[in-house]
Amino acid sequence: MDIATSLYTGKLVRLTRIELEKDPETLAVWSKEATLARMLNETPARPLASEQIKKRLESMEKEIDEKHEMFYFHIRPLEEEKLVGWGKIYWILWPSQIANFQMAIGPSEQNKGYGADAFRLFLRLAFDELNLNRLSVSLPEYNIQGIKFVKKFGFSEEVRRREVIFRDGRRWDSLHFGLLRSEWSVNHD
Amino acid sequence: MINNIFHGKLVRLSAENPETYAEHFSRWWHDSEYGRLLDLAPGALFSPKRVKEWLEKELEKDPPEMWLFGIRALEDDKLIGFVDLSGATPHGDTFVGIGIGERAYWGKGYGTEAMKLVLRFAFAELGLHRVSLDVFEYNPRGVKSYEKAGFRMEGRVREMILRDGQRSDVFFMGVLREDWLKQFGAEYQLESNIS
Repeated sequence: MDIATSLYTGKLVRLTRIELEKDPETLAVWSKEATLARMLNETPARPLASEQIKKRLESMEKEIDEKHEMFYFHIRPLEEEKLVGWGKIYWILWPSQIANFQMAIGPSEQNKGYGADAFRLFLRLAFDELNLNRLSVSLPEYNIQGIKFVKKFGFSEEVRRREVIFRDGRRWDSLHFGLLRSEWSVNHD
Repeated sequence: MINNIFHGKLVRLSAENPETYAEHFSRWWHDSEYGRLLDLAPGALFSPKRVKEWLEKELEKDPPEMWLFGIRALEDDKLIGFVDLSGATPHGDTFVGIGIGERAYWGKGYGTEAMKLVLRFAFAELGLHRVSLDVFEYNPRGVKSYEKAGFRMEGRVREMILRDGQRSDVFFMGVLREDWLKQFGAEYQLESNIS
């Protein structure tokens, strides 16, 4: 890996900017299925109209500009323009060299290898470009697939916040995972 | 039914005007050890005016997004610190933050009692399911105090802080309502059936 190795282009997908005219429609379709939102965190899932999503993306772009603590990308296949997912490195605390990470692949785009390819790009961006020392991910305990996924990349469970989530009539824990820069290097591709 | 839920033996939880908070917060933050025990982000030393403007907006919100209390020592009615609950989720979880700005009152149980009072407020008045906090590895006094108030360790986030050339971990702690009731229900004359 060197200066000529693209930060944004993987083997299957690329990290791109937001297309404000087209992407909100795709995101609106995904929001009709609550699964995606429920797998991420405890924020209540709700369907969003594309106009609402557009406004949110606009205010996020503004926040990115003003606060310098987030990088947000839309994931697309190498040869196609369609949106297949998004990912963000956020709550960057520069003096501590730490940040949180979140990623989602559209319900119809899963199990094609896009997530793993994009995740590798995000990790390189976090450690080789932003020079972070650690990355955190939090996931509900019922997101078995997500937990397996982050563990495969070397993340280890650090915190189990008990009964933080109340869904489908029962309480669930919220798990926090962490990956240190030193642990990433050994898993380097 | 007990009514005086904001009073303990050493301290009471108080309501203060934005001006009063502002003057104290601004002064306390000039004590860098206080700021570094409280916050991951570097302390910006805001003027009382700036703090006041922020608080005026915050305290106007109804219902509040942040339940902020002053901590007053009963012996001299001095404002010695603050405690707040913020970011409550629809699932009944919230984070608590606490700071004793007046050094003369450190290590004497004032903060612990204020935390116990705010937990009683969270469980007996707000009806929350759990309360969360994070505390830094280099703050063992804080950890001990929170354990006394009922918190349990839930994990350790490695190397979250870089200060004085050294990386430190951050502990996450939490207290569930049912555990809290078992431990303190009798002390506060609460029926365990409120859960």
